[in-house]
Formats: sequence, structure tokens, C-alpha cells
Amino acid sequence: MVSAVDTTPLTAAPVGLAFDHARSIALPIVFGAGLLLLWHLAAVGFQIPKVILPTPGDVFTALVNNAGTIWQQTIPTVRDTLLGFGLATVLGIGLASLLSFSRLLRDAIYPLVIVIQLVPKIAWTPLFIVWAGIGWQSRLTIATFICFFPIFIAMVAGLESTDRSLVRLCRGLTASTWRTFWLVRLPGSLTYLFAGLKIAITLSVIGVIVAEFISSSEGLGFLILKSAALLQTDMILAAITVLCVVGLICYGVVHAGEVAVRRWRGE
Amino acid sequence: MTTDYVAVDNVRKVFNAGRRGEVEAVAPTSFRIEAGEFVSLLGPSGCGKSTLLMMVAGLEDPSEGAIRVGGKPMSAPRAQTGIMFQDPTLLPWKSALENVLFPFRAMNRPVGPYIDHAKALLDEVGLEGFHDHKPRQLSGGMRQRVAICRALVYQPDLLLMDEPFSALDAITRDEMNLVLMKIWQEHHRTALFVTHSIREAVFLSDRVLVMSQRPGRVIEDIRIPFARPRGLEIGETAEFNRICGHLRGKIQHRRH
Repeated sequence: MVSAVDTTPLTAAPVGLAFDHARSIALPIVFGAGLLLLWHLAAVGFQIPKVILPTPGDVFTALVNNAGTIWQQTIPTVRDTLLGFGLATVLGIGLASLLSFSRLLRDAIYPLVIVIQLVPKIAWTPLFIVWAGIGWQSRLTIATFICFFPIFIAMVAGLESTDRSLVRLCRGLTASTWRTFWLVRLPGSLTYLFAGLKIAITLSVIGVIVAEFISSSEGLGFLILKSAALLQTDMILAAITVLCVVGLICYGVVHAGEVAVRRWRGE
Repeated sequence: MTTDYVAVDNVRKVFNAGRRGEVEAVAPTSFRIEAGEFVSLLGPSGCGKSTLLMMVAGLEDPSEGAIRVGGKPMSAPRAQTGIMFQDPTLLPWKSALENVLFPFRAMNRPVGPYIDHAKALLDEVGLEGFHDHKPRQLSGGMRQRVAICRALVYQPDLLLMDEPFSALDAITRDEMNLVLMKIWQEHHRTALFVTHSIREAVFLSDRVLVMSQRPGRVIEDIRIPFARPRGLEIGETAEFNRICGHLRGKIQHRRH
């Protein structure tokens, strides 16, 4: 009498799918390795000076030889990136939630936020340095500021996308506005939120690096600028490599969170 | 002493009143439902029957007239009403059991004492072994079964259903009618059921109210004489088909 939908998990993947999966990982790695090889051959073959284009090997050597310095400069960059991202997450979710409770506030504030976000946010950086000084405070402010918008906008969209029939159900059950928010609107907006978080985490790194370019005595941005002044091209590329890894890890963590949320939602 | 449980008196509903696009959805109409009675509101689509139900639920305010439920005037949704919508409206991220328990969470009441009751209800509608499944893993009929349990779990004294099976295929629909019939006989709540299926209305109800085309109002109120418990086989009887024919005539007659 009762018929269940097929609930066989997809983990029992057929051979073809496993091959596709392996291919999707192997292909970019092989292609990347090919590019490195090409880079190496070009640098050696055309006898390009090391100061213009060091070989991948040179960059790796610089990375190993200066591991201590680079690590030391990585810490403040990562710290400001994560703090800014975290602060923006709290503020973005907070303000978006607040606006979801009041149509009046939403209509008054939301358009203004959109207008502010239309200005290239990097342009605000010098102003924040004037306001918050040249220490970590200004870098944190910039990272937070730049991260805030995608999180806020995604969260507003998520909260507004709430299934109206679920809200009506809550109303029929005499649930308070707060209960409805907590049980239906907030969990319903999580997939949207993560779309915003993924954009924000990459922007956070950009914000911190730009701020370090403008005024800083620490961080990978500072290291890149200093190395450029000394024409240590291999060091610049080593720092960028580390920055790549940092960005990848941050993004990966947010992505893992998204996957967990999707699984929790039964998708 | 009156046994009227739901009293609808000269209720009228106008959308966009006084503005462009003013629509009279429900013309002044009145009816009564006795305690423990299963009543269907039958009418063509767009006749305002769902609007009427939403007003009884307190989810819409009447433009004119008054509704009393359990002797008290309705102004807002009441916690003793169970509602089923056209869609199951389940939380996709919660299991079947958690969805059934959702009303307690919504009302901010502890769920602990009701878990066994919720499980028993799920078993009663044939969902043994599916308590922990997410809505996505259930078929359309199974989702509506979860919705039935959710509407009954907090033991409301009035059950309101807005075309709950209209999105289901004919076979599943027959099945759901049986499930609803069985569970209603066991729990015996006062029920108001909105449908545009004549056979469904006759099969389930003690009384059928026929609504006219928009602006809808109740134009016919007939008692369905079949004894309970009923089985699908009553649908084959001459009496059943005579009643259906009569109701069809009423709906079509008013159309012109």
C-alpha cells in the first residue's frame, strides 16, 4: 500500500561515475603540471633573468629557504582575513535578520546598502586607514566591510525566499514571529547564506592584502611589496603561492560547511 | 444548548476593497457545523471555498459577518485548530517524525511527551519504518500522510482541510481518502473539508455544502446518508451515484 521513493544512496557509484570523479581531479592537476613545465622551459630556454621570471624551482627554493619569514607573515594575514570574515558574517546575518522583522526598516535600509555596495569597496580603504590607523584595526575594518555585502545580500535574499506556505502554517499554529524566524526562515535561508559566504571569504583575503599594500609592516601583502622593492621576484611568487594555499583552505572550509548544510537539508 | 461547533453568519470577503481590481470572493453566506460532524465545501475552482476555509482558520479576516468557533468569535488563528493545505508544506530538512512534532515546536511547547503519540499516528497512516525519512525521500501521498499526522498530533478539536489531495493521482487519492476516513473515525474531530471532487466529498462527509460560482455562497446543504464505517465500495451503489448526480446538477445549474 505504501510505496517508497528510491532511496538508494549515490555512494554505490557505478564504474563510469568513479572514472568521471577521478578524471575531474586528475585533469586539472595534469594541466597545471604542464603549465609549470612550460613556464620552466620558457624561463630556461629564453634565458629570462631570474629577477624577471624565476623558474618554478627557484620559487620553491625561495619558499623553503624563507619558510620561517613567510610563516611569520602568513599569521597576521590569515588572522585578519578570518576575523574580518567572522565579524562580517555576524553583522551580515544580524542586519539581514533584523530587516526581516520589519518591512519599514527593510525598505529604508536595504536600498541604501545596495547603493553603498555599488561603489568599489577598495576605494574606501584609505578612509578606513585615516579612521582606524595603520594597525591591524584598519585591515580588520576593511576585510569586514568588503565581506559584509555579499553575506548581507545573500541572507536578505534567503530570508525573503522563505516558502510562504510554511509561514502560513506557522501562523495557523499560532507561532510567534520569533519562533517562525527561528524554526523556518533562518534554516530555510542557509543555502543562500553559503553562496554569500563563499564569495565573502575570497573577498576577505583580497581586502586584507590590499590593506597591507597600503599601510602595514606585517602580513603577506607587506612581504610581497617589500620583496618587489628588493626585486626578489622568487620571494613574491613564493608569497603568492602561500596566499593561494591559504585562500584554497579558507574556501574549502566554507564549501565543506555548505555540503554539510545541504546534507542536513536532505538534498 | 446548541451543538453548533462552527457558526458562519453572513460572512463576505472582498479582496482589494475600494481599490482597482476589487474582487468579491465570497458573497454573504451562512452555515453551521455540529460538533463531531464531517462537512465538505464543494464548488468549482475559484468559487471562494478556500477563502471561506481560511476565514474559519483565522488566516483571513471576513470583510463582513462573523465566524464563531466553539462559541468564541474568531479573530486570529487558534491553537485548537488543525489545518491541512493543498501542499503538505513540510520542512524539507526535518524527518517525518520531526515534521509531525513541528506544531509543538512552533507553539514553543515541549515535544517529549508527544513523541510516542506522533509515532503511533505515523504508524496508523501506514508510515511504519519511514519515521526518520526526509520529505524528499517520500512520495507525494506519503508526504500528505505526514501532514495529516501533523494536523492531528496536538489533538485539535477542529480539523480544516483545503483540497489536501488535489495534487495527487487518482489511485493515491482514493488511498488517502481511506486513510483520512479511518483516522477521522478513530479521532473524531469536527472537520471542514474543501474539495472540487464531488465523489470525494460524498464519500467522506456527513454533509456536503455546495458553493456557487464566484462570488461563492452556499447554495445547497445535503446530508449524506451512508453509515460508517464506509468502504470504497459505497462508490459503486446507485444511491451514491444518485447523490453525485444531484450535486453535479446543482454545480452546473448555477454556472449559467
